[in-house]
Amino acid sequence: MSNLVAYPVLLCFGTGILQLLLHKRVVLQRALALLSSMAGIVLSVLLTYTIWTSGIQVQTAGGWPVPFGITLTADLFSGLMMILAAVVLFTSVLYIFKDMDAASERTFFYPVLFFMMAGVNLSFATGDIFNLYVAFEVMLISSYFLMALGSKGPQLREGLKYLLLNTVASSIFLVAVALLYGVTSSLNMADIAAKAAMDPGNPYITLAGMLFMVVFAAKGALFPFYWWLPRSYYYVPNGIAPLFASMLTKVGVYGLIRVFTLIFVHDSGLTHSLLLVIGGLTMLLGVIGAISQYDFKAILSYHIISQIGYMIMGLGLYTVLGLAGAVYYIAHHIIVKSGLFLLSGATSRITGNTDFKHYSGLLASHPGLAFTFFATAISLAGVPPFSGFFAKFALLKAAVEKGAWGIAAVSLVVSFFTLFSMIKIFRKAYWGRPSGQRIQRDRKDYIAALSPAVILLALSVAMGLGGGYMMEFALATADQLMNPAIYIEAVMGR
Amino acid sequence: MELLAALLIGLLLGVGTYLLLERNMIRIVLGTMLITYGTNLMLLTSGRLKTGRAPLLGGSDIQTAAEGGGGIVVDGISYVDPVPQALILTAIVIGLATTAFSFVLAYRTVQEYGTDDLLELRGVEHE
Amino acid sequence: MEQALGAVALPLVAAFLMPVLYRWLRWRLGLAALAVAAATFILVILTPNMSLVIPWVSQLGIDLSIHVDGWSRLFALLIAGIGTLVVLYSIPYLGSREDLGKFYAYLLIFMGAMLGVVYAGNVMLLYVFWELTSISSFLLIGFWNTRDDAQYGALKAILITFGGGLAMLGGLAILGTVGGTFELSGLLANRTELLAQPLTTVALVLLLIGAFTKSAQFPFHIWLPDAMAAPTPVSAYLHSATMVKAGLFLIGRLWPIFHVHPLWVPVVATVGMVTMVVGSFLAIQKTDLKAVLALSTVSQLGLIMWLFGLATPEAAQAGTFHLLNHSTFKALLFMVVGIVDHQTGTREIPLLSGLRRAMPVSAALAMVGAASMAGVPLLNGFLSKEMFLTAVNNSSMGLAGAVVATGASLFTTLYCLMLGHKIWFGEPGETPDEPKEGSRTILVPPLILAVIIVAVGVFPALAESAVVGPAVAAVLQAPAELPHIALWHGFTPALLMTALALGGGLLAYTALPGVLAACRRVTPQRYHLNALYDFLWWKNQAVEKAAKWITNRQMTGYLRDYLVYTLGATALLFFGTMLVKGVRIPALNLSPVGPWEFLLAAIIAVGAVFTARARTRLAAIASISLVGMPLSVLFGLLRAPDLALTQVVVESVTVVLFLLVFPHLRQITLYPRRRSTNVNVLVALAVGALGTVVTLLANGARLFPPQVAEWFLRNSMELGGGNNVVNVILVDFRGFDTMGEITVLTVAGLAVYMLIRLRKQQAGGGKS
Repeated sequence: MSNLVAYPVLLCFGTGILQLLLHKRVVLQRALALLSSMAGIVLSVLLTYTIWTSGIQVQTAGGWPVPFGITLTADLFSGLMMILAAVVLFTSVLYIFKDMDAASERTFFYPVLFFMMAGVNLSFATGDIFNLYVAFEVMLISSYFLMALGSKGPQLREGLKYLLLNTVASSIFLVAVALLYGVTSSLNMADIAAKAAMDPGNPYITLAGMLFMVVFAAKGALFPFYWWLPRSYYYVPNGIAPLFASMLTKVGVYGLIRVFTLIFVHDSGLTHSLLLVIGGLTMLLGVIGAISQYDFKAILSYHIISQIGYMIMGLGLYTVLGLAGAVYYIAHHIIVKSGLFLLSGATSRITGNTDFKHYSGLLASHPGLAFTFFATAISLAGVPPFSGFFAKFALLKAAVEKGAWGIAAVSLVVSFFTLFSMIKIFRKAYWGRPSGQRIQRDRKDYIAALSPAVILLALSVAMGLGGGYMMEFALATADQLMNPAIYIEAVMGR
Repeated sequence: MELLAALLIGLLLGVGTYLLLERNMIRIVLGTMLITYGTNLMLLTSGRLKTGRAPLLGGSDIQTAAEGGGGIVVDGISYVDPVPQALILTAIVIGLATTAFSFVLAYRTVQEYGTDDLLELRGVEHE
Repeated sequence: MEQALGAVALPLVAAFLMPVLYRWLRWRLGLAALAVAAATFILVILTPNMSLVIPWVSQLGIDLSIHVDGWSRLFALLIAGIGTLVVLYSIPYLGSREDLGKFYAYLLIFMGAMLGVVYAGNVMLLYVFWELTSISSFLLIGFWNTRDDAQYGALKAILITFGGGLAMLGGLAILGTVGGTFELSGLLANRTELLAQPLTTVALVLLLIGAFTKSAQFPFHIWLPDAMAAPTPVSAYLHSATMVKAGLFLIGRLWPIFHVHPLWVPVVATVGMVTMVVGSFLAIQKTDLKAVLALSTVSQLGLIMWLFGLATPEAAQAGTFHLLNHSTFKALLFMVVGIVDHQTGTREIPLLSGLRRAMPVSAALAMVGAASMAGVPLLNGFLSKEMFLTAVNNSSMGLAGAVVATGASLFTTLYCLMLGHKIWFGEPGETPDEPKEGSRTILVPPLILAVIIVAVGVFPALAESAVVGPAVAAVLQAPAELPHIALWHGFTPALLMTALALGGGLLAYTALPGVLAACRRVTPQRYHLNALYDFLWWKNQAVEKAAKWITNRQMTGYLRDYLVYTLGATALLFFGTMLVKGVRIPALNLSPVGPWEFLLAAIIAVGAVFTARARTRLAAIASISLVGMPLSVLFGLLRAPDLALTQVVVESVTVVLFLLVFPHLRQITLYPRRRSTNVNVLVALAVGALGTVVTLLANGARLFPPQVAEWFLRNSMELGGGNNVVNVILVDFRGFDTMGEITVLTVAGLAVYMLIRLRKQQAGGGKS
């Protein structure tokens, strides 16, 4: 048993509390944010390495025996998610230094940011279903805060809708927990899974699974629950939009993958087939939304939905390769999506706007920005040799191997439309005659705003060129996910 | 009692949902509150009701109600399930926080837009 | 093996240096690019036949597998050879006006990607480079992106080729799954088993779509004419030796596996034939020289495709040879047309005539190229054209094929005359710029090509033994008795067909205006495929509008709609599952209802109803308290004293909050509902029913003993040191929950403070 599991969570909590105490000293808060986000990367990599070498890590909070206390459990999937969260936090913090307005920065921005990340990390670390609810709430309330930060009209308006829809989803979460507790008398996920395995296919457990599907689908922005996402994310301040776009919905996806590979696996003919349909519709409707838009940030917001569909496709296929594809895809998506949002921010720092009506032709004056975007965008569309290609191909191959022709076809069609909308951004924003305003900033500032996105692009390239290593990791992760017994045994002991 | 509780929960959730689907912001907020009440009661009921003493060990002077049967028997005394109560306590506080947040957001939105009609607050894209 | 890897890597790596070098070298950058291209060409020449596998993403079957045989050598020589000439040509052509750093970067990426395609021994690796060519050609075609036609052409090219690429990817996934490997050698070895699988047919069709889109076959040919919006050196490169040839390369790779498939001949040969006819028919109607050339490329590609589609060794040989010849004469013609454009300022055929006086060398070069394309003896085009006609004549298509081939060749003669005669002879016309001969440097690359054309035409055996023979052998993958390519085969039917095509073409040329008018009459303009494309993607943007329509239907921005979808779907899923699984409500363990409890429940119910009916803010507060306060008492009665206390506190705080906020809100206005109330009521009923059912299930369907609760009760005193079990759980056993809970409360507090304070600050700032 190792304490490593809790460290990423506690690090974020601790940083948040310290920053709260120092809330008048913005410079110190910044320094803390930078240090803590770097430490987060180190800790999560260390944790994942430990899991890789010596198996699933379990830690009981307070040392109470399993399954009575809250258990923190990290398998490779959790570890990977924590690494990704830490990396994205780091690049976001770099960008935030450049792009957050001073008034917001002084208004408890950093503490709440780290509380949110604590919630995110706790979601990945916890092995307790009710604690997962609490982690979600920590993350959500902080996200409401950050979304409303600056309190401009549309932010408040869309923030309110975001809050209300998520409140409803949280209520459903409680309903689901009530049903699951009533049926199994336990809250520990491994314990519940072990009990579910004793009575495979029990309809009450399947019913509870359906409720959890709704809950996580709502948090993860899946069809038909994604309504809250496109408009509210559009108004999230540029500095934290990358973090929102890449991490928050993925917590929902994580939850879905966690419970549908651990607990609700005994009726996969029903649940996972349903997930496959939901995944297909999500990716299709998301991309349809994306191609209907004429705004940098709006296109990206809709694409989040579409890409979540791919992840669920991997889960719905429910094979090792499918899940490996989903894991690979999640990693790819988190990196690339935050890169794209950073680039949208960096672009609007120059043009003061994200709507294509107001500007064009940035390629001539800002080639670095334009090509960083181009490379990141085609990575998103799944063009080789970037990370997106292998992720999508693994999913496609898994679908073909399973004979799931419908979803295979949908995934290809969606790839096509994804490229179309990415090309649209490139054409409208960077090609064409230069027009619109240009906010003059010095070169150093431009490079500082661009470099976080370049870091992420480099990661995407590395994940593509080093596809063999990535795939090996993804397959090992998927192996753990497909064998819930490993997880159960690690937590419950023999 | 469980049946009554179940019906009451159904009523709370139903009326809450009905209010949630309204155009008026206050009614929507009231709706979320009713739903919160309903889910809390549901959590409690999921651990079964009145099957024993309240989960207070020892001193019988702080018992608030008579004993029942079929609960969790420890040292010869039947108790009700304490776990849902703990969960609800957490949920209540979280619910309060969210409600407070939604109040303030609603108040600020009304201030900005001069209306509490959600239909008017649909918004134009990307203003 | 170093040579093969180097040939692919050198241009790809060098490409990234181009923008950097441009800062120092300025217009001399072309020389650096030339050095890279020439070095690549040398590496290609030095590359022996070889196979090599370097593991990459082996788990997916994708490896860096290099396979060089005769077929890849032919292409590699064309790619690097013509590539070098194109770079040489581009130096004087582009001068120093353009952004050369980007230009050469794109061009070299493209060259490296093409070499990757032809050297790949793994079909997935081939796909990787294949997409890279689509992307880099997009950038090349859109090089002058401030112009609309460049954007149009680039978008069209990438949509069609990337779309086809995705079809191909699907095909490859199936092929790899059925065949168990993505290695070409493995697939070849398994071909008999592969062909026995019904799924292989699907894979074949998808792969062919990929090849057809890339090689601009009907009906995907529409991207190619618009790709000429690129600078002319790019057009010369894309249309002759590279981009469009990638599809043919794939066809050659598939040939040994699939040519016996029952769909091969009908699909590939027919598509090729139709493309040839359509291309040549459309080519003669164009007045833009580059457009004529572009459509002639379509037509010639159709011809080659047709040959491979015939599935006979003889036809494959003819196709391979024509592919080589086409690259030479097409590159030459593009270069000359570029010079004409450069020197006269126009490419419009009606404006150009009598140029031979001012530009004699260009005229001579153009005539060599055009004559070769038309199939005039002593030039390489004649030989392969003869072989083409022979192959068609001997094939299963027989006479009908021969007639179509001759007819299409007649049109070919016609547009070749336009390129090789019309603009050069007659009285000099008025052009925007005074025509004069191009500089010496710009004439060198086409001159080299002209020399090759004549040399191959006169000494075909050289070309056969050096490149064509090994290439054909690699396609056939089996020994075959093939006739040697020779200048003279005697009086054959093919010779007659050539004579017919040339003679008929000449005849039609004398009556050109009439012929063109007749052709235009039968060409449907309105229902042209381009019109369809423009409707969908460009002018009408029908796709985007349809997407907008669908999206606006759901993304209304109205909270009520979102909630109806969300809750409706939840209820549907839940009750649907109950129905499918046949779940019944289990027998309940009911505890008795006391009178107080009944009363409290009644009050709560009344409170809930009152809340729904409240019309004033105060009434709302009162009635919500009528729910909350009795609920806390009920909690107490239900043996949850802590809950009761907390609920009372929370209730009070809520009321205070209400009182603070409500004065700033309006009275409760009942807005008329926008949609039918029935849906709202239905959803409300469904959610209520869901609540009741879940409660009953949770209560009645306990499958396992409450082991956790029991442990808490037993150990609370001993381990937690408290007799209030709920408290001990919160503080000790589940302390992590409480930590989260406190965080939530803290953030909410901060939020309230922030929203109110920021508001005040803003208001204050506004006043001062």
